[in-house]
Amino acid sequence: MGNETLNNNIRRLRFDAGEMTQQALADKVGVTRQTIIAIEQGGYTPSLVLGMKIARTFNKTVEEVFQLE
Amino acid sequence: MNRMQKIAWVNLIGCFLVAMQIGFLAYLMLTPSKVKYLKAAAVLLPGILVLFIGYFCFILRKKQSPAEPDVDERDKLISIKAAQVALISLCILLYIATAIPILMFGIDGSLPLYMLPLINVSIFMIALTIYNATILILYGRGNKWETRH
Repeated sequence: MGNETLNNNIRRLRFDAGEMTQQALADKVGVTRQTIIAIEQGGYTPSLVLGMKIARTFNKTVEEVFQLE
Repeated sequence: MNRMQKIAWVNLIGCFLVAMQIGFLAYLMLTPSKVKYLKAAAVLLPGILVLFIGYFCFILRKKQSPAEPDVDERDKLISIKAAQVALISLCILLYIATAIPILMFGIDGSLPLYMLPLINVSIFMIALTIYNATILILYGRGNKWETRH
């Protein structure tokens, strides 16, 4: 395993989507608010399914939401 | 705080209250004093435990949102990790609990049979405490152990 980190734009995308709350996003993708917080802070790497659900919520591709750097 | 964290806190505090209760009862059994407040405490503590569990049953029913799942993928990962830690601890504790009597009483020593369930229950309680403490630690750490790609 390398030293790559998975960054994401979820926070910005939420605000672009009419200031969507973390709870609203959590409800849409079927997780708890704590999980959304952990993903936004980079503390938790979501599964591919959850990543795709988040991207679909914002009408974006997975690469537009998550970046491996 | 999500459902799993609440349950972990309930278990941790519950274990503490049960341990306290056992300690009080042992103290009452070992010291034949007539101090009434100790006996009252022996009656009150189970009451506090029941009230505490009842309160948290009420709290657990409250959700942050109606659509919130009881358990999501991160909760499952944390639960598995905590179970692994608890299982390893259980094995180590079991070894220590069987080794200590040998060291204390020697190879040919003997132990009353009623000690065996007590040892089992104690080990189970400690493992449960470790499991719940691990859950809370992993939530608190922001799950950094999971971010290595």
